[in-house]
Amino acid sequence: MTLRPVDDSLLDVRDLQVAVGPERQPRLVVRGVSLLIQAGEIFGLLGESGSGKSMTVQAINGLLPPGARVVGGSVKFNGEELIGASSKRLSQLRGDRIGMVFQDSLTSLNPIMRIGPQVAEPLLLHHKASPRRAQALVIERLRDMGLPDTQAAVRRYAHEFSGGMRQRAAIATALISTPQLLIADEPTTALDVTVQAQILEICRRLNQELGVAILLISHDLGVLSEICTTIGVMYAGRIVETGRAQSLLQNPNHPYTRALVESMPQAGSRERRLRAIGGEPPSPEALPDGCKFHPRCAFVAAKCIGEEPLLAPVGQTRSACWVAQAGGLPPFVATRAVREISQAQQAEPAQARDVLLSATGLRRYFSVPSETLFGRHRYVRAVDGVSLELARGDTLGIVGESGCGKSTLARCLLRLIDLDAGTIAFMGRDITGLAGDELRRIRCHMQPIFQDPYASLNPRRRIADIVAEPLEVNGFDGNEISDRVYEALGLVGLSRSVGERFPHQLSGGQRQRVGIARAIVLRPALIVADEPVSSLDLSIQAQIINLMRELQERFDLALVFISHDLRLVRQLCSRIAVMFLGKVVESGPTEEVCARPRHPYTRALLASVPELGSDREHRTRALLAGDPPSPISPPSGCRFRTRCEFVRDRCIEVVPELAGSGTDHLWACHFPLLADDATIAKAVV
Amino acid sequence: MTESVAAAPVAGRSPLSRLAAVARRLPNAELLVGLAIIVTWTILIAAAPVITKFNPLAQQIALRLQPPSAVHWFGTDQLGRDVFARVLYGGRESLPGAICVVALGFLVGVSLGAVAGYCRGIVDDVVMRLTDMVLAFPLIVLAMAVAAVLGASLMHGIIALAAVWWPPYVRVCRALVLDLSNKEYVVASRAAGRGSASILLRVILPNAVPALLVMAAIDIGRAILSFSILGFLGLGAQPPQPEWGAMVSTGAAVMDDWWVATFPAIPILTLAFAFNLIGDSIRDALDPWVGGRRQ
Amino acid sequence: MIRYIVRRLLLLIPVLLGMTLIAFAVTKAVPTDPIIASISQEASNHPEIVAAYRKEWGLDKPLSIQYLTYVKNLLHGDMGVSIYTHRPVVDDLLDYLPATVELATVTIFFSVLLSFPLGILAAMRRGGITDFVVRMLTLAGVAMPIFWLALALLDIFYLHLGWAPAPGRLDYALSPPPPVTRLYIIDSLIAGEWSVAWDALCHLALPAFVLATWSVGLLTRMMRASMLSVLPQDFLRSVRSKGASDFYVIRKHAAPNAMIPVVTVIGLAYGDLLSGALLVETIFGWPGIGRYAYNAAVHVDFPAIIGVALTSTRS
Repeated sequence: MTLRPVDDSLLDVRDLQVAVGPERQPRLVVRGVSLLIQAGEIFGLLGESGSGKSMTVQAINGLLPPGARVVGGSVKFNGEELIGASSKRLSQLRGDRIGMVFQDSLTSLNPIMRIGPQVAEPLLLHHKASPRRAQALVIERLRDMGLPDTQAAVRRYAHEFSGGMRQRAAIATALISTPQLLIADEPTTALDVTVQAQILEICRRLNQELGVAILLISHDLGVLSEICTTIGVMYAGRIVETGRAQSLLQNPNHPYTRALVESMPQAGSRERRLRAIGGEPPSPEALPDGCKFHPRCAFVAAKCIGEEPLLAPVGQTRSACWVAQAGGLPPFVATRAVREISQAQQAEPAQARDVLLSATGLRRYFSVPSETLFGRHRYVRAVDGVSLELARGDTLGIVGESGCGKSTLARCLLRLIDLDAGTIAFMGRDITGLAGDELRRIRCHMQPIFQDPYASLNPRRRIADIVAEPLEVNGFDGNEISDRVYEALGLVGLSRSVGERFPHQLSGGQRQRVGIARAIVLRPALIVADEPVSSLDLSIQAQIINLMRELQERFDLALVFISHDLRLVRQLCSRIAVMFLGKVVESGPTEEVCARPRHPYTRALLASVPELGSDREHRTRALLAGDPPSPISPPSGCRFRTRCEFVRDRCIEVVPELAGSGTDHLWACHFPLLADDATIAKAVV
Repeated sequence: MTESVAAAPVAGRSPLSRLAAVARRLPNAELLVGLAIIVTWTILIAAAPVITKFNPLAQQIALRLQPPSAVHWFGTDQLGRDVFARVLYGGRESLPGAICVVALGFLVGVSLGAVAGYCRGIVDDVVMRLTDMVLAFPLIVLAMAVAAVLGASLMHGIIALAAVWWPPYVRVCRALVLDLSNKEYVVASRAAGRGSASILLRVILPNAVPALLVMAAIDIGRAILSFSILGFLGLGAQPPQPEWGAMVSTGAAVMDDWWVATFPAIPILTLAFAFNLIGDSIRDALDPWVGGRRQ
Repeated sequence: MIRYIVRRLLLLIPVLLGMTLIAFAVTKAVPTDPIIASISQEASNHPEIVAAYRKEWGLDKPLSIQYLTYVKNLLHGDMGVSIYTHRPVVDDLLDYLPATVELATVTIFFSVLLSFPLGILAAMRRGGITDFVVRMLTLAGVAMPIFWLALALLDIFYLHLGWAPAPGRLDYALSPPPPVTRLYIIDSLIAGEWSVAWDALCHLALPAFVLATWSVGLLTRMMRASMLSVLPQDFLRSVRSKGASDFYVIRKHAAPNAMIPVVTVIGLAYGDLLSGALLVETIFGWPGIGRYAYNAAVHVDFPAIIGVALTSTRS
């Protein structure tokens, strides 16, 4: 990729530097970023937390938070310098020539103003349009975005919309003045996977139709690989590699990029241990010398420790790596071909083992106060008739989007909440109605792992005490407690000294390890993990997944792994159950279900998951329209019918039951997909 | 994941770490000033017998209404008593009295609020209705009525105020407990097998109490004010005992001899000011947006 | 929205009932005999007279009957007769309420006018001199012992400087305007009596100022805090990204959002003012509810006490 002359480019950023902190002691969070975006291009900026990607784009748009300031470099938009420009000039450009979309659509909208005026605001600010004309344009644009019932929608408030609809409105706002550049800061991170796919598709369409260039920021390589033409990878405040998307993903020339590509759960088989990057990204206060990645790098050489590398052409991309520039990186082997088949896998198919957990017809409703004064109470049918079975050492993944009831199901299984109907048998006993001491005794054998590492540890206790709690409460004696606690910490890769610290002194990844240590300290037979890695950086996710896999194999744990991320579930679980609106719509062996899904929702989920190198055409056809329906008043008959393209009369009237054709692959659909429907066959294995 | 969630350990969100952040930010001038004022008055009041040789009750009619001088620093009142001594000794009733009121209100309010927030259901409804009832009463009127019933004295003044002091604590504690009950670490404790009572006492409350203590500390200022109002109305400590509010009241008759009414008002103003100041700076320190920048 | 209001009103009933019960119990527990406290010294020496009064006020019946009678009367709008003034409590309240309402309303009005801009300004210039000054002044306002301030200002501005008029609502030479709302300023404006209106305003000035030191302090602090919590919110960043100037962002988005919680506080502050007015009214001789309440408490006039308590419910 050659550097085009300045005149052609839409956005030309050179050596941008942003600092935070007090005047006397500034900390550089962006340490010299350069990038080039041509008109009509889609540029993806990839980075994990702490990489400085958000600060970079906020600096470009002149919207740095108070306390952060640009301390060097230049940003030229259409040849005009933005750094140091008057705030009046910047205000003129913003919203008119440069549009911006943020991550959290709910907090990005004024809660007390209707949507219509907010979408129209750029028009009123820049073009002095009359409110009536502006309104008409707003309606037209929103309709174009796929917002239903637009006339009524413009009079609603932000909280009345779903996440996907809000984000569409946000995009409409950003583009209403037909700007030349759209900056999107993690626009899909807070959205469900099927909705995320829709939004990305919209972005691509708008790019093609309107010719608007897009600067897309994400921590998810898969998202960027969907629509970007060029990608820049940021690490510790700098771009470490950049190039055309194709080239960069197929032949990355920086160890960090390589590691990211490898640590992404792939469309391939699950018998592959994720290549995790050891360690954690450095914080701006404590940057190592030389190349900032060298402490975690597998190819580190002497020069890397002393001097920080600059971007230079390597192969098809530009990479900031001494070793790569010297030609020292081995060719990037398509690691998808590498398989490490664990012992357990090989033994798996044949043995039928003891049933550990058996749940039948679980139902749990939550009552919602009625809207009118005298209306009936309504119910959220969080879990509406779920049955599943788990044997010792089994790994079951439960996949679904928000509102499908998977978290509630987790709590039901662990008997943390009562059931409205159904039974659960665990270790041969019926635990449905247990309470008090009896329940406590059973609890030793089933433990949870939670999602939010910041909220799952008591902030006022030391780590050792937190891990010891299950032991204390269950009457173990002092010596044995400390032995087991330190053993557990060791098993999860934490040193003894960590035991003396408090949660706030640990990073997210470390805290999650503590959560795992706490879960295994009682040597339970079953672990239910509710989205254990969703809050973590990509590189840390892989570490934790590997750790869980190790522990599961070592202690023969039964694992229920709940996630919205199909990719992770495929990595870790031998069996899978797909949930939609409180019901299981498909279940069976993971590979079988993923290779030959029979339920349209499963197919759509698989198609929506952004993955590298997948066949875009086929996947687009399988995308879902619309939003997940409300769990308060689900559709009659098959709940999925409002989003299903194959819906027929029977689907409206009769609720489909889980059934199969002899194997343990079950689905709940009146008109399941044909077994040989190859629409989601991936181009690469 | 946003930029603000750095991977490396930084000043996290726990109250403990934030208090540490406050300490790091010292010298926080305002906090120090507030503390200085409070400590100064406390010392003055506690060491009254040492500091002044005058008896606050000793009347010397011949020396009545003397302006402040080198002998009588705050002058004398209508009965020739040394105002400085009376101010210092008056604090011996007002300050501990105010602290008692807040302590009682705290204990009652936090207990009720914790139970209401944790048990929910009927218990919650009953407690909240009770709280609403007492809260609906205008403070002074009810306190006056209670003091009138029991007869005016220091002790009864404390009881009167305490009787109406607890509702705000119920509300705040209940809200905190409700919020904390849903935290994942509480659920984790339950999954580990901890019993309900144990969870409330040893997991939830320890996390709720720091915020409540801060609230109580600030409240002492308000209690001092209310106490002095009762005194002004003649419902607190009875003459000839010195009490700040009552002293202002007697000084009202001789406002031209300004020192009689004004000097007792000074500790009320400065102490209430100081407690509020401290409260403000603690709240500021706990607020992650200090300095306009997200931590 | 309607549902919310109805619900709040329904919840009010048990609260009111409870209040009457509490108030009733409290005043009944008084060791002081209300009769003795109200009639002359002489009369109290004659048991027959005392018994006669007792019978007249229904004080010889059992407590529960007394309470029920009271509640029944209450529902009919009858709050009993004040033992001290010998007039129906309702009449007393109606007489004295307008004065307090006038005082409180004027105070709140000017407090809001002053505190909203101050609070917003202080929040926007957080950490600066303006913020510091505003914060110190409002802290002092909230911490001020009002009774002393009232006395001091009265002494200085009336006795010594003669700028402020004598305590009371009007100059003794002037007569009140024809009663429409019983609020002197409004009534006199309606009747076209400009000098009376001006006089009433002047009489209001000092007591309102004293009360305002507290309410301005409170409202400004609340406004500042509310604004500070709104300013970092994400949606303001969105508005800026659309190309709005800082002033536009504040005017159209930040300030309206910040005002909402403060407006609800105004209602509460109004209620608190009614009771805080007690001190100011007593000192300034303002014939309002506050002073009435003070007299009632001192004389253990239980119908009056309950009447005041019920009226100044702050819900």
